[in-house]
Amino acid sequence: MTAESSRPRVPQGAGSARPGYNYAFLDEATKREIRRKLLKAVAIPGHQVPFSSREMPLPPGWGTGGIQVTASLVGPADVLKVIDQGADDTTNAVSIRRFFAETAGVETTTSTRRASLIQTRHRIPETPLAEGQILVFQVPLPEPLRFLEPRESETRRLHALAEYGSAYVSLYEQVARHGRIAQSYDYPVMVGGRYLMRPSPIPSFDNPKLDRNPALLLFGAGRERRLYAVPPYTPVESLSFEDRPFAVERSPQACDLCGATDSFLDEIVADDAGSRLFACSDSEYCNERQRRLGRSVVAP
Amino acid sequence: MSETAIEIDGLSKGFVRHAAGERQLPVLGGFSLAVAAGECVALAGPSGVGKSTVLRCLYGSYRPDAGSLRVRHDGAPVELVGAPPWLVRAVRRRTLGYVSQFLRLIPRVPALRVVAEPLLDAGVIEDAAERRAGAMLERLNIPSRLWDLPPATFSGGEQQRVNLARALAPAYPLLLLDEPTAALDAGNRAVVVELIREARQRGAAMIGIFHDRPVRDAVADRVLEMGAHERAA
Amino acid sequence: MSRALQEPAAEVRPLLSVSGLTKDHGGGHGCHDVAFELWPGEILGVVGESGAGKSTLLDCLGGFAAPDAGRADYQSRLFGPVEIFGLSEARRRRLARSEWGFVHQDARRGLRLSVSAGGNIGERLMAGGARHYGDLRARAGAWLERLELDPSRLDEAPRQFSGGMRQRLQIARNLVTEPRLLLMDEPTGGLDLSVQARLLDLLRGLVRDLGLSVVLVTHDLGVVRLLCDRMLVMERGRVVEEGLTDQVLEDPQHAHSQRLVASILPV
Repeated sequence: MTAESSRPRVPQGAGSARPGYNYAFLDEATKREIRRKLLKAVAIPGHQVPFSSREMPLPPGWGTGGIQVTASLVGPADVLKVIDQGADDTTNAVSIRRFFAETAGVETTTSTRRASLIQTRHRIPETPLAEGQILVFQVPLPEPLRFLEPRESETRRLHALAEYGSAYVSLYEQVARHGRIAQSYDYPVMVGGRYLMRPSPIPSFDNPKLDRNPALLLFGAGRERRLYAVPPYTPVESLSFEDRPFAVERSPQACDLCGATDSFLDEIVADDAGSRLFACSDSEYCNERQRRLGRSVVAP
Repeated sequence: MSETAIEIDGLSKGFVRHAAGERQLPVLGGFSLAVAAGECVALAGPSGVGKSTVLRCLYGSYRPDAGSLRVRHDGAPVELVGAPPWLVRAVRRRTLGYVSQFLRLIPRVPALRVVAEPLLDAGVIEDAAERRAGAMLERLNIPSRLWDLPPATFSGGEQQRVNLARALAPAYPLLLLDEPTAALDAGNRAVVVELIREARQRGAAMIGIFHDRPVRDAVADRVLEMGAHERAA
Repeated sequence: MSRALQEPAAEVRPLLSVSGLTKDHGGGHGCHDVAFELWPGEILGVVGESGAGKSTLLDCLGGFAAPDAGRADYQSRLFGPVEIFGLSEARRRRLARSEWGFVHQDARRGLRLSVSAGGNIGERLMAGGARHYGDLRARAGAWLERLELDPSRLDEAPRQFSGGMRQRLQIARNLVTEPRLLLMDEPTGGLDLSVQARLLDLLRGLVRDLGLSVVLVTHDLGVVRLLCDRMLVMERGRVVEEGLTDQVLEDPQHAHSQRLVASILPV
C-alpha cells in the first residue's frame, strides 16, 4: 500500500480542496476552455486542437499538458491514478498525485481497475481499461510530421488534406537503414482512418491497446499547446507497409518478479555487481500478480 | 500528269535588323513555283538571290512576309504560312525532310540514333527504325564501327553523310536539299545522286540547291534560274 | 495509317493553355499578360535575361506564387479539363504530386537531403497510396537506372551526390508518377558543361519515351536549341516573341530576340 491511500480519507467535495487555491488549481474559466477544446478533440479523433496552455507549478516537460487536462476533468467523485513509465511510485507520479489530492481533495489509488481517471507518462496500463475510464497522456511532442516538415503552417495543411506520404518516408528510411521498422517508441498511428497521430512516447508494445479501446484517451501537450483525443472504440492503426506489417516486439524473458510473459518489461540493474533483472514496467500489474502468487511483494 | 505537291505563290521575305538602325534587307519578292510529285526542281542563281531563303520559308524556319506556301500533307494540301506550330511540326514529322549543309550536333547521341530519331518521331518502332538507319548509314559508307559514336567526333564529310542519312531515311514525300553534296568525295556524291533518284522514283517532290553542276544535271528535272525579277524592290 | 488519322485530333488540343497571366512584384518585376499554349509532347522554352519574369511565370504555374490575374486551363488525367488557379488546394496539390513535376535549378530545393535516394523517389508514390516496401524499392531502383544513376546508391542520401547526380535524382523523384507536365527552372544551371550535355540528352530521351510536355525556363539559348520544340522570348515581364525554336533562332523578329540570338557563340 502506498503512503497516500493509507492516509486518512479527506471528505469529498470542492470544500476539501486546499484553502487559498481554486479547486484543482486552475480557475474555472480556464478549465471550461480546456473542456471545450477537449470536446472538439473528441469530435475530431486524432486532430490536434490548439489551447492556451497555462503556467503550472512545475516546468514544461514534466507533464503540464496532462495535468491541465486532468485538472479540467477531475471532480470530487473521481478516483485518480498517476503513473510514470508504468510506475505509481516514481517522484513524478507521486508529486502529481499529491498535487491533486491537495488541490482537488480527490481520492487516489494505484489500482488501474478502481481508477476513474488515470494520468500517464509513456505507458498504457497492462490491465485492460473499461468503459467510463479516462486515460490522460502527457505529450512532449504532438506533431507526427515534424521530422520531415519544420513549418507548422505546412503540417496543419498536410493534416487538413490528409497528405501523409512523408510519414511513410520516415518508415521507408528505417527499413532501408535497419532492415525493419526500428521505431520502438512514439510509433505513429492513423486514428479513425483519418488523422495521423503521435501516441506520445509509449512503447510500440502499447500501440495495439490504442485500437478500439473502451476508455476515452486524451492527450495533452503543455509546451506545444495542443490537445487531442481518441474516443472509446475508435479504430487506431499503426502505420506499416504491406510487406512489413506492424509487429510488437516481445522480449523473450518473463518478468523476474511475477513471471508475466505478456507485459512490457524494464531491464533493471539489480546490484552493485551489475547483475540485471527484468521486471514489469507496470508496477501495479506486477504487484497484483505477485500477491496472487502468494509471494511477498517486491516493488519493481 | 502528276499532282502538285508543293505550291509556292507570291512568296516575299525580307529581314529587319533592329540593332542596325532598323535596316531593311529584302531578299525575296513575289516568288512562285509549283513542284509535282516525283519531280526535282533545282534553284540556281548567284549567291544572295534567295535560294536558301525559299527552302527555309518552306521548312518554316523563316517566317514569310507575304504569299502562300501549300504542301500536300496526309493526302490534302495545307497552307504553311501562318500555320499553327503543331501543324508545322506534324508536317515536318511525316511529310517534309530538310537536308541542311551542316549537321546540328547533339552531344552524346550516337550516329545510329541521330539517324533513327526522325523515324522514331514518326512512330516507327525502335527495332525497325534502327535497322533502317543502319542500312542508310551503310549506303552512305559510314562504317558500322562509328555507329555507336556521337558524330561530333567525325570529319566534316562524315558528318554531312550522317545528316543525309537522317534526312533520307524516313522517305518523306517532300524533300528540301540545300547543297547535299558540298563536302563529299566523288564516290559518295554518286551515292547521293542515286538516293535522290530513288526518292524521285518513289514519287517524292524535291527542291534543291546544287552548286555541283554534274550532280544538278544528274538529278534535276528542271532548273529555275532565280534573278533580279524575284528580288524585292 | 490509323496513327496518322488519330494524331491531329490529339494535337489540336493543348495540354495547357495560359492567358492574361499577370503577377506584379512591383518595380517592373514579375510577368504581365502572358499567354501561351503547350501541346502534348512538346518542350516549350522560355528565355530572357534575368529579371525578365520567366521564373515568376513558372512559380505561378507551379503553385509557388499566386497570380494577380489570368487563367491556365489544363487537361487533367484525373479531373478532366480544369483551370488551375481556381482549383481547390486539395486538388491542386494532388495534381502537383502526380500529374505535374517541378524541377528546381537548385536540387536542394526539390530534394530531401537527409532522406535516401530511394526515399526521395518513393515519396510521391507513397503520397499516392503505395504501401509495399519491396515495390517502392524496386521502382526507385529502376528510376535511378533510368536516370543513369548507380542503383547500388539507393540507400545513400543525396548529400553525398555530386551536383549533376542530385539534379538527375530530382528529376527521377518527379518522373516516378509519370507526370504529363514538367516545369523546369534552369535545370542545367550551375552544372559543368559535360554534365549539362549528359543531362540534356537524358531529358530528350525521357520526354520522348514518356510523352512529357515541358515548360523549361532558361537563359541559355544552347539548351533551348538542343531541347525545345518551341520558345517564348520574354523581356521586362512580357512575351515579345514566340515561335518554333528554329524560327526564333534563325529568323528572330523582335529587337530583343535579335539581341539575344546575336549574343550566342556560333556552334
